[in-house]
Amino acid sequence: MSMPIMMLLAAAQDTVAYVTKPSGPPDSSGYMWAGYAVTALAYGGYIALMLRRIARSNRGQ
Amino acid sequence: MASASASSSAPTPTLPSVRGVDALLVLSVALVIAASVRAIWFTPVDAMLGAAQKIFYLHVPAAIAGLYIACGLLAIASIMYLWIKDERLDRLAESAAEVGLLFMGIVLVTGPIWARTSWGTWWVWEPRITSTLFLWLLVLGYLVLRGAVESPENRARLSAVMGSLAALLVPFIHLTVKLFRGLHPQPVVIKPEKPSMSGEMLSTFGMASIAFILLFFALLRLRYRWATLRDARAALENA
Repeated sequence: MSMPIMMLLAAAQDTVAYVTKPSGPPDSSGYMWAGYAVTALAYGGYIALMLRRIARSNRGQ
Repeated sequence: MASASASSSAPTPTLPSVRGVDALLVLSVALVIAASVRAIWFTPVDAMLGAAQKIFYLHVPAAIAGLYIACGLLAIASIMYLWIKDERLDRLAESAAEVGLLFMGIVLVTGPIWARTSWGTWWVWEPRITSTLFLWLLVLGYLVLRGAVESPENRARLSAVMGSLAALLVPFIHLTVKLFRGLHPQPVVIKPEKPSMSGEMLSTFGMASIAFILLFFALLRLRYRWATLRDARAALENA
């Protein structure tokens, strides 16, 4: 009895990592998207920072 | 960040012309987007780990660029600076450290996202992960040190010592999976046996590696040119 409750709690905590499927790997696409989004934000943010620094230096600030 | 690099014998300073967006940056960003599209939509899903395994195509290329290339450049430029005292080497070391910090940061963020699905936990204090975090903190300390020392000569010399010492961690990090028992997997591509990946996955990994390394050099070039402009402007103001 306690095992299904634990599984439900685990599923409520993390619906990607713990929910078993009849076949194949768990659907972890949310984590994949999170990884790619974080990377895009980091590179985009750094490029924006560099462009701002160069624009300010060119303006003499 | 620091305002000027070490030089007291500069000729009459002239401001270099620096463009923010150049062909190398555009090409590298386009390649990274193409590699990501290929990884997400046109590469098979791992049978055991699911879609989260596709973080591999970000995580490992970022580690190659951030740890091996950036820290290698940081060490070489720092040691060369201590030898020949050329301010361009100081700027190269500074730029490699900052861009390397970004790439290592991506390694340290994407790793736990992937670990959550494959290990069931965000973080484990195991040798490779912990030593990579230490290296990231050392490089961050290197950049903080640069901002804290006012004299350009002292700043360049002290940070060159710290930069060359920090990079000594890289061979240790590389060997951690061989020396210690940890959760981090062994190499799957570069190893004595055949790579443990399908041909499609391997070609996506190759494309992503080229794209991220090119992006690293595009950002390094941009950062170096900005540092040159910043130093030239500082020299002009002091003249």
